[in-house]
Amino acid sequence: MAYVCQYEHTVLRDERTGDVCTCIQHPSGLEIRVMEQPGFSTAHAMFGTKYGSIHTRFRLEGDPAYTEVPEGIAHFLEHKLFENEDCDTFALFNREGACANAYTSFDRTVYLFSCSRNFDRSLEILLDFVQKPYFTEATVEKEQGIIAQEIKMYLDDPGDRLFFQLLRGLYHNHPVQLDVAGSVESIAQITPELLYACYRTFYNLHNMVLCCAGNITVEQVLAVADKMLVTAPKQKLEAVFLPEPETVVKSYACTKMAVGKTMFMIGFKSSPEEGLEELRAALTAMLTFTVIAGSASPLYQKLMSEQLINDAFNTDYLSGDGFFCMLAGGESDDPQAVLDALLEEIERVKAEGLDINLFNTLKRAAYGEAITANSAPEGAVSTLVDSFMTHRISPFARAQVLSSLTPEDAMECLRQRFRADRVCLSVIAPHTTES
Amino acid sequence: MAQQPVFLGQGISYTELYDPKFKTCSLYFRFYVKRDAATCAENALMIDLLTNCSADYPTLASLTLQKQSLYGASLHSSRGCVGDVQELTVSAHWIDDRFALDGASVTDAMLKLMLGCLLRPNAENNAFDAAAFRFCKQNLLDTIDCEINQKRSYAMHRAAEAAFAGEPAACPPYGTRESAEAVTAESAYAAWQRMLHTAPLEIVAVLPEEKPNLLPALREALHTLPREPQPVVFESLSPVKPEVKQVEEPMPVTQCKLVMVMKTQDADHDAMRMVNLLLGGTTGSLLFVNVREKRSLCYYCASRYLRSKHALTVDCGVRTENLEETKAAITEQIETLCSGGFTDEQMNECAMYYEHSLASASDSQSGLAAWVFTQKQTDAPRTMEESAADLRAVTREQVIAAAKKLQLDTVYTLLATKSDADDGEEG
Repeated sequence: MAYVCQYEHTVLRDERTGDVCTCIQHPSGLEIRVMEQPGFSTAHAMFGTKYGSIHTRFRLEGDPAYTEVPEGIAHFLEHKLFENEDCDTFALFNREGACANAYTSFDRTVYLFSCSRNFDRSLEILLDFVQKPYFTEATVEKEQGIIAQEIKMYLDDPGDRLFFQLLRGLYHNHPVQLDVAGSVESIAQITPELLYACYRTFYNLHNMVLCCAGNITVEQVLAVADKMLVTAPKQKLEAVFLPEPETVVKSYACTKMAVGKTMFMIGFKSSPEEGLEELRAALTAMLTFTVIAGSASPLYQKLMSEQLINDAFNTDYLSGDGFFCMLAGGESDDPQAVLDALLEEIERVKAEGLDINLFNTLKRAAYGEAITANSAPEGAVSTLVDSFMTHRISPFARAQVLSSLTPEDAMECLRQRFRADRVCLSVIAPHTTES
Repeated sequence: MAQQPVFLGQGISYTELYDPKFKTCSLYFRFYVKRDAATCAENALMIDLLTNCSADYPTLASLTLQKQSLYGASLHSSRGCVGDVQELTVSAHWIDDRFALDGASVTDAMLKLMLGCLLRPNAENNAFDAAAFRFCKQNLLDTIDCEINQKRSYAMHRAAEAAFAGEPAACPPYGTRESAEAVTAESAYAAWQRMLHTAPLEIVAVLPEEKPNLLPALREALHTLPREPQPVVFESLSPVKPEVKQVEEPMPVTQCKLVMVMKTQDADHDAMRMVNLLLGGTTGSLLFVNVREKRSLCYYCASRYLRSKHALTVDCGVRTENLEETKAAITEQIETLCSGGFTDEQMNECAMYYEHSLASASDSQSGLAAWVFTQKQTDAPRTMEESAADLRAVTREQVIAAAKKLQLDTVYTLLATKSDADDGEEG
């Protein structure tokens, strides 16, 4: 007999691929998203909270004042949550044959595992340890040594340095400019009390999501959820950011490091969006940028023939709560010439119009990417988390939004989001290069 | 479901796997050549050229446009090495025909495009097209120069150079800068002809369903190739140095990278795989639990087993002042293995970890193809189930014996010479 979910839920279906997602509002306060993929051997689960490195200033309703916390505390909390009072949580997953991990980004912290056996037991472990924080002076101090080495590893990573240098060039006040792991100095200020304060604020089930995909069933997930979830009180959470000017901080930033060739990243800052509008803006901007600077574009051919770029050149976007920017980066002996050529091409297209054939071809390509996005459990579970974090939109919204985009949308995007007075060039140069 | 391999010519084997759970098709051509300092660079450049343009699509723009019109299909080349062998791979991925909006076969179009790139490059007078060649040569030179950017992989390559000095495996995967600079459009073209003529070729397709047109099209395209395949050897012992080689390379970075290379002369591969998992292959391993978690010395500390050279590496990122303590801690964990300081439960967890990694591989087209390629490199190919059972059959005694045979050969240290505050943003 077919399973009937007793809780408030929605079944979403992607008509193109046949993928089905069940979104359940669990009485504990947690939203649960499940994609059953019976032909696969593995199952993946992610338990995430809308809490990342940008949430450095916040309060709950009733709190007299905002709490300000050191940079990198969300990431630190992620590390510490793996340690419970009795043992290391990794050991529990290992006993079940599951592989566990976690990550922290600008706007979220996600705990995850994948397995090909004992899914129910591993899901119990996941839901249990994330709901049971255990922080002491001694364990916090021990973790500071490990995370300090992680921070140093990123300090030596030119790609990471290039990216955050760009964000510091684009954003005056928004905490997206802060390194996700913080600094050796900032994590030294972290105490068990601060960790508990952050935990109580952000690890409330109403602010969280559980996503599962692969060879599992909705029934299976809900049975474990019913057993393990502790009902959370509804609370009103307010995370605030200082007002962010539309202008950039600076138009150029450069650091010298041990690299083989000059690396660069260009960022165009523009106004942030929310929910489905954020997805629509991001897809429009990506499509537009690919028409302008993708490997089928005249600009790419010009830069390639003048040996100003190599095959590392690419375009991307970054968006979230209070930030939105388009990115182009790669390796070049003359990043300023790449930027000049890019700005010139943008102005030309603004004046002469977009190559509509190329736009339609790239839209077709984006359709193909949407088809493959959820084709295996690992990708599907990430899509489920992303869609929840983007103001709880449908995991299948991408293909629908793409099909609605027009060349007019692209032209409007070009005018609004690719402005020469909202651009910053970030450069990492080899030690031997004169600045 | 897998078909038995089909032979499409001398040294050309084709394996087709299909599973309805997949929504896309993947096709891989992998050529094997000897890893040789004289030819590594031109081979690496040549294989990149083949996916940059073709006679049918003479520029990168026209080739890209065609792939984009096929719903964003991809065509990639990659250059890798396994021990003393260089692997040159061209792979293509596209959505299954059932998702095409206009009913046309994406599979037929991609097969034509891929075979065109492999067999009819954009070339004349025995030389690749000058513009495409210039772009790919610059890509190769930049790739070689930028190897230093990723400090962990750079350290691993430098450690391999020192550990396998005098052997083909010491040659950098893309060749040296000097050898890359010497490549011409003519020598790259000759490398392409040589590859088609002499390199053993494995073709693997992973599909949602059987594609009746695929095999006849491949047979038709390949049967006329003049072939004299030169066999390659995937496994070759590396002699242990009489004295441990210590290499220190100072660099203006904030974190040291330490790589220890150990060798063994008569590996029991399954036992060594278990040694690797127990030592540093999982989050329950001796290195993770003791060197990272208990002593807080590193963020990462892991081991890898290089079957092709019967070698095991341990690598980590560490503060300069903790280098000696970390080396001692790593050595302690190896001694723990040699003295049997591990439980049956730990061995069981390693076996489960391996079984899960096989299950994960079976859930991805690239994982399935990689499995086929790996099995073709051994004398006794196994199924995933057989491989998992063989690992489970490894005994404590075998693990202890295998661990005891490991001999330290090389210690490479990328020595950090600066503090965090040494460089600031300018401009």
